[in-house]
Amino acid sequence: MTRRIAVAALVLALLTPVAPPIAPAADDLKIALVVPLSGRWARQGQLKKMGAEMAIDEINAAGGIKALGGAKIVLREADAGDSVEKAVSAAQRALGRDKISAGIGAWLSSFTLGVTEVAERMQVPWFTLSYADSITERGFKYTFQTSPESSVQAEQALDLLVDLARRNNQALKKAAIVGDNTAATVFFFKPLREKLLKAKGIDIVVDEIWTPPLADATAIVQKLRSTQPDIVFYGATNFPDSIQVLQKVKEFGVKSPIQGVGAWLVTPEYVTTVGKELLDNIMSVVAAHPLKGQEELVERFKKRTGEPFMTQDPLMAYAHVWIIKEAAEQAKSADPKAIRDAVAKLDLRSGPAAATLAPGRIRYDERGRRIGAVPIVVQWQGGEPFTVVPAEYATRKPVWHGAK
Amino acid sequence: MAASGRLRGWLPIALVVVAGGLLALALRERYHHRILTLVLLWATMGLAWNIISGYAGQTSFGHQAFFGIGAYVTVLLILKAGLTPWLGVLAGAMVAVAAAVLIGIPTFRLAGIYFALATLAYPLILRIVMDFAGYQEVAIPMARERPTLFMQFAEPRAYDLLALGVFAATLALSHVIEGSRLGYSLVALRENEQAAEAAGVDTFRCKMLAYMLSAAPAAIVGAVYAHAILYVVTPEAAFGVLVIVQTLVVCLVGGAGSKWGPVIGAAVMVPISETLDATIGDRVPGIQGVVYGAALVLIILFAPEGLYWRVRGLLGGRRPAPTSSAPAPPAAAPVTGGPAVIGGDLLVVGEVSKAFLGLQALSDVSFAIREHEILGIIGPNGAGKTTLFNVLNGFLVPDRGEVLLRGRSVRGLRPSAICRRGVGRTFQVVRSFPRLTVLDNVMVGAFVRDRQRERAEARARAALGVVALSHRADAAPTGLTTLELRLMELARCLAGAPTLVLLDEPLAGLSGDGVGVMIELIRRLRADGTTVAIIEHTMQALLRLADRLVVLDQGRRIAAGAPADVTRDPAVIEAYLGTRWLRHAESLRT
Repeated sequence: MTRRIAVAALVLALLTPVAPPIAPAADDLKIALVVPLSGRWARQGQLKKMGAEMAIDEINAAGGIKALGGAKIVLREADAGDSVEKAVSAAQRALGRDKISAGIGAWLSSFTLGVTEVAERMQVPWFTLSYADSITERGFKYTFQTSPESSVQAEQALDLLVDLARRNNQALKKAAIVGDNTAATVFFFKPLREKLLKAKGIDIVVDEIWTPPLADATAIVQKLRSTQPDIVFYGATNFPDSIQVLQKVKEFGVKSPIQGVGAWLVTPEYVTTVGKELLDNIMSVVAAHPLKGQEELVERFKKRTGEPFMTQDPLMAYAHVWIIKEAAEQAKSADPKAIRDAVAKLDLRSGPAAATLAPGRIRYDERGRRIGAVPIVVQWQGGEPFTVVPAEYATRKPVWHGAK
Repeated sequence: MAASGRLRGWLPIALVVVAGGLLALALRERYHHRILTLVLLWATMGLAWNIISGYAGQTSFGHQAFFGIGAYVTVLLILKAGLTPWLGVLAGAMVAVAAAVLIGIPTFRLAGIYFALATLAYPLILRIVMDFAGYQEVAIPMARERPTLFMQFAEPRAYDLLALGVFAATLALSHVIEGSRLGYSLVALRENEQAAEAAGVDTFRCKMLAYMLSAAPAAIVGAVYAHAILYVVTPEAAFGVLVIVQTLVVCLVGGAGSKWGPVIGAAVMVPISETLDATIGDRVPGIQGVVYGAALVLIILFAPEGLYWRVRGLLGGRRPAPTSSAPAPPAAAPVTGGPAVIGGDLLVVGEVSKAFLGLQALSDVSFAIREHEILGIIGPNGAGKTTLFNVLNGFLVPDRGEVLLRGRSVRGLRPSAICRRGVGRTFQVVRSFPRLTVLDNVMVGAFVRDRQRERAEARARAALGVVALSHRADAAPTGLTTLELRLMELARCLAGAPTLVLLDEPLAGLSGDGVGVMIELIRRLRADGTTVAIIEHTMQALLRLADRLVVLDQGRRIAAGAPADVTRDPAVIEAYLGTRWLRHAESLRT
């Protein structure tokens, strides 16, 4: 018995928390990054971390924040895990432990809703790429949403598609809506279903929604084959479901162009699982993607990380760190309230942050939405996703695969 | 004595609540307040689950349904009606209680693992409903003007105290249940549902009541959790599997079936989990889950019944075991007086038939039990005697025929209802509640006549006195001899002050002395005015004891009357001894 207790005591001793890592010099500017680093969305969190670290290294190598006497930027990351509770907990921990000047996160919109609530209460400016309209509908003063919101994305994506098809002498008449019922997808589909498609004279011929995980995609894809829609609006935010649908699409030989929403559809894993040919039919609306003139940035990123290409998540984190840096320069302070006020007044027309995000200018309105934020349409071409719309930032011309 | 005992029960509760309050005031860092709030909320959720699954033993894997209902109702009421969450919480609790009734009605028909599996369905359904209704992520609107009215405190202590209030109320509720008639009934039905029902516990009603009482705090925890921890309600966060997993972890680690189990479980596991998240989880994301799982496995290996019961067992083990060889007090003086005056018909059985598939266990059995008599029901094995008792006390509904108690039909009544009308019974194989003491076993029966705990205890002690088992009141049933077990079961039956007792083979397995004690006791019962019906297949004992005999064979009544007449009845001799012996007996007679 005594031996068992001793073993238990030993195990408990091993579990006892160790002192937190060494504190950095007092005058550093600390940025919290709260993203999923474990669980289902860990990959996206890792990508964001890569982008943020790249920006920090560049800034620190170039002499830090000049207005603060060359202060270095330090990243404090916390794992948002796979639940709202964990994400909120991580934010509270990150913001409670250190004097944080600004924060970034938390990828999934429901996580972001919770995390920004923490930031608002603790008065720390918070930057997010989440799309949901609701994030900036609560009247928060410390939340900055850099992506175009879902409703705007749906509207603009449809405009771009109709335009693209017309230039290829096709009128869009039949649309399909296929996706899961997670928040991001739902908010993208809702305006399409309720008003946008009708306004363009497009009929919805298939409307299939499921709760993940998807059991079998056969019936859904069968409907696509029999109705032959001119465009498929697609939202399957988790990889296994999405792969299932796309493999069936390949098997059944469905040729309709697929328009997704979100960066989940432009990850390198798709190349190996469904192949380059099928991907050529796929486009996705995202908040950021490498634009014309950023080739050198993408090369640096590829070299640092070994990733085959750069996408929304690292790019947005990269831009956010630069925005915080610029705000700190203007505020001449690392105080979160001062930085928040500087961000609210910010109007960046040049520099790495502005160059990364279309339309090349960074301003936020009183709700915290980025003024003029344009959704980017990305198209797979030969196994790599390229920006195809808007034309002035495109790295490739869009190819219309629809029936002539 | 009773009053000071009651106070002593409340003292640790007061201490824990005061400690929680002091901690809330003493903690400085925001994150530590969050941990305290979480400990209190998960302890409360565990306590809620414990009411239905710990006390009543009805394992619920779907308790997050109520948690989620509380969260969603409160938040949607803010959103749609601008209602303050202080009232919304109450609305949420009411909806949850209503849901518990709706869920309970179909689901309590199932027992054991089937009940547990069925409960899984409800949160899944609610998740789909919320997705369908477009409530994928509902953020709580910020109320800048009146934060207190909308439970939005800048001061983290306020959430600690809010959680502490909910926790204290639920802990007090659990304490009251543990000492109440309901608490005894729940534990009894967990230990042996049929015995509880026969001892007058309306098991369906008790389970339903427990389910409702456990749904309300779960809903309140959900609502507070949404405001203090989540800030945004999603179907996953409200109805997801993580909620029930955390609840189960807290209860299993601490120990189910006691109010202290979930409290200990939450106080141990929540800080471990949060500390892991905050330390190694920040350096190696994901590893915290592995370590937490390992800690869980270790605790379950060392204390599979839960920390509370483990520690209690270790402390209790040092106490000297109560001596089981203590001399029994002399039984009451033998009754020498003549039999009480036998009255009219108390219970009339009219042409009762019962078949199990092809087997006709009873066919057209009719007889009456008269007031103040001792009626023996005999018959060879498989004659249908126990089936008859099961019909009389309501376990079985007869296919045909009537059972009238004092002229009123009891057909189709639940056993507990028949028990409350004054019919007690014992079983062929003693059915005790093994995890209750002898006194508590008997108290379950005493609650039939007295809802008040002290008076029920007095009744139970008196019943133990009648069967001369007072010296074993604090023993566990597992340590009792067969005679003592039978006496305990009889005391449980007598504590409900029945007018008629049905004794199913009370002499089976008893030694010669034991048989004497039991027979003497039965005689005394009758002398005190109780009517007795006894099943036996050995005729010897009954000939000495019974006023009349009813003989069953193959489900039919083949004879009835005074013992001397019945034993000479050719049909009885044939049934017991076969046709050859019958011819022999007839030749002797002529």
